[in-house]
Amino acid sequence: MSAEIEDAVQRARESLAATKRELEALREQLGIRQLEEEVAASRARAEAAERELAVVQDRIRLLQAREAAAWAILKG
Amino acid sequence: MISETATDTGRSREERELREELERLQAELRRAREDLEAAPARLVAAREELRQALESCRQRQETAEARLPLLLAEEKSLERSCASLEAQVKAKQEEDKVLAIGASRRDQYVDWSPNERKPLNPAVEEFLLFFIFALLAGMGLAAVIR
Repeated sequence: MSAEIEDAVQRARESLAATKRELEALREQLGIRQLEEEVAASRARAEAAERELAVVQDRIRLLQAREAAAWAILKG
Repeated sequence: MISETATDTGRSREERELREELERLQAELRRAREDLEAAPARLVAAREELRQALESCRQRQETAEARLPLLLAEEKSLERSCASLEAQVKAKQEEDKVLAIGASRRDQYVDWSPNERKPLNPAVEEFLLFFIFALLAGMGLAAVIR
């Protein structure tokens, strides 16, 4: 009885591994992994460009404040 | 007898554990097979979603890269404007400082105005009067002697 159960466990493990391999093959076939990597790289590039933009926007805000302060002094 | 019972108990426990593992594996296998059945449609949808995400990221990057030169030009223009205004502020502050000094000096001569003769020091005035008187007296005396 125990041997039968052990066989069944072994078969279930093999089936599970095969199913997982099949699923992975399908993902590979559809290029999901490659697309995921491309999205991650593209997102990183977009975020870097947006960070650079934010830095320049901060500098602009500072300059606008300096300009407003100078105008206020000149106008008395 | 006791040994046989112990062996039986050990075996039944082992069998129970194996059954439990089998049940767990069968449940996992069922889920994996369901997953696999639904996979084509789900993966196609996921691929579409990933493509949209990729496009969105590309657009974000392009937008940011297109705005950057404009913002850099705006920053340069603001830097020039600020430098010019701050130079004007500095000049104005210098001018205000000079005017403040002038006002404080003017306050020391309340009766004085630029078109009036500045009053002489009384000692100098006395000395000049004495000098003119002495000169006239000397000239008169010289005329009498002659």
